[in-house]
Amino acid sequence: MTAAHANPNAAPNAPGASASPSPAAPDSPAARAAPSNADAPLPQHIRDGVFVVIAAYNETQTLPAVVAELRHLYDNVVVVDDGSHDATFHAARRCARYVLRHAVNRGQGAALQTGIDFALLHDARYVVTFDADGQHRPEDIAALLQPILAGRAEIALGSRFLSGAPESIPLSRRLVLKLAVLFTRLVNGVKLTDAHNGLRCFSRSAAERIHISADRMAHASEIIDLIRDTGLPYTEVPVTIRYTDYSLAKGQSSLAALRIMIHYIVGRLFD
Amino acid sequence: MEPKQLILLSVFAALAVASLFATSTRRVAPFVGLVVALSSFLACLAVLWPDLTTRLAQLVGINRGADLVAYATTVVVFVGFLAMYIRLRRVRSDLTRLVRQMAIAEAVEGPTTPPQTAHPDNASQSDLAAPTTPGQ
Repeated sequence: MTAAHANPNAAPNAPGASASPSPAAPDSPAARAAPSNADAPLPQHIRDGVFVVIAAYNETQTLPAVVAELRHLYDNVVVVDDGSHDATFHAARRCARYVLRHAVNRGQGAALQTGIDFALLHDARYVVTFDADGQHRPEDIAALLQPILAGRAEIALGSRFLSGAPESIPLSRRLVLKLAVLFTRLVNGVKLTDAHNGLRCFSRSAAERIHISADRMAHASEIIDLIRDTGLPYTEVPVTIRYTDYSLAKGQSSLAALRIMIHYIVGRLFD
Repeated sequence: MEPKQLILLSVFAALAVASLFATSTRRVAPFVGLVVALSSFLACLAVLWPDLTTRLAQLVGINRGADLVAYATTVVVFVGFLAMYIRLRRVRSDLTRLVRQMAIAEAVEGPTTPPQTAHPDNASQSDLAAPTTPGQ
């Protein structure tokens, strides 16, 4: 439970302090965590070392737009089709830089690990995980990379709660996410404001130490375990989540959150 | 000997013989086969001399032999489930590793230049960018 203190670059904000009145207030701690020119593209040679990993399971609908938008900024987009039953693989082949296919559905955690392994084999210097449903903004990746480029962190996690109180997050979802944060703090001792955000960025050395064994959704907790176990410096960066009807329908239901928690606890008991 | 004893005895005896046979022909793991054979043999003893279980039960502070058998069965079933669960987890993670290796070995490259527009019959970017707030 003391690991949080071992990370010198721990998240600058406790959840209590994250409710800054306006999302873009330049003097808010959240804004200081990210550079003010976060939306400006990074130099090409840095972006060439960035591999964006997307795990996709039956995402034909949104994947092409998400990948096309990403590739305007980062060319190395790796889509892992997690044994989809629809045309996700073919859709990905038309837009992504690299496409991998799980012959059998193995879950999001497993697909992300596959993509991370692939990225590392292709000399990735930075690995980003990105959701396939269009809920993340590609521009936010630059903000996540900044603390890593500056050497302040090895792992940067997106947080939807740092950039002020987002009204677009439905109340029920907000409650579940806050419970997840509480759970993470109790079990892992890592202080976060948003425990289950799919937008993350890892330096190569951090990515090399990721070994997601939970195939399904409990992988988010496993990545936080990684922070605790390795003591790698991490930081949280405010990101914007676009809650569309599609991403809400596709995302985890509140009941699923409970199941994920149970999976995680059981997984820890038997390893 | 009562009829029920005869039926139970033949079932357990057959089970004991079958499991020994399966073990000797390596159709089941030796450990599993021997455990099944041994418990079938013990079951035969308990059927032939029911008092045996009662005496054993009273040794450990349980009144009836049938209760002892019930408790023992519960424990054995639980341990069996646990063993199976652990085995299942290992099989799952092996499967994941296999699937991962295949995926990486068979990775394909898409277009080297980013597609200018998304697939026409899919949601445009502006559709994605417009957040909808459900009435929560």
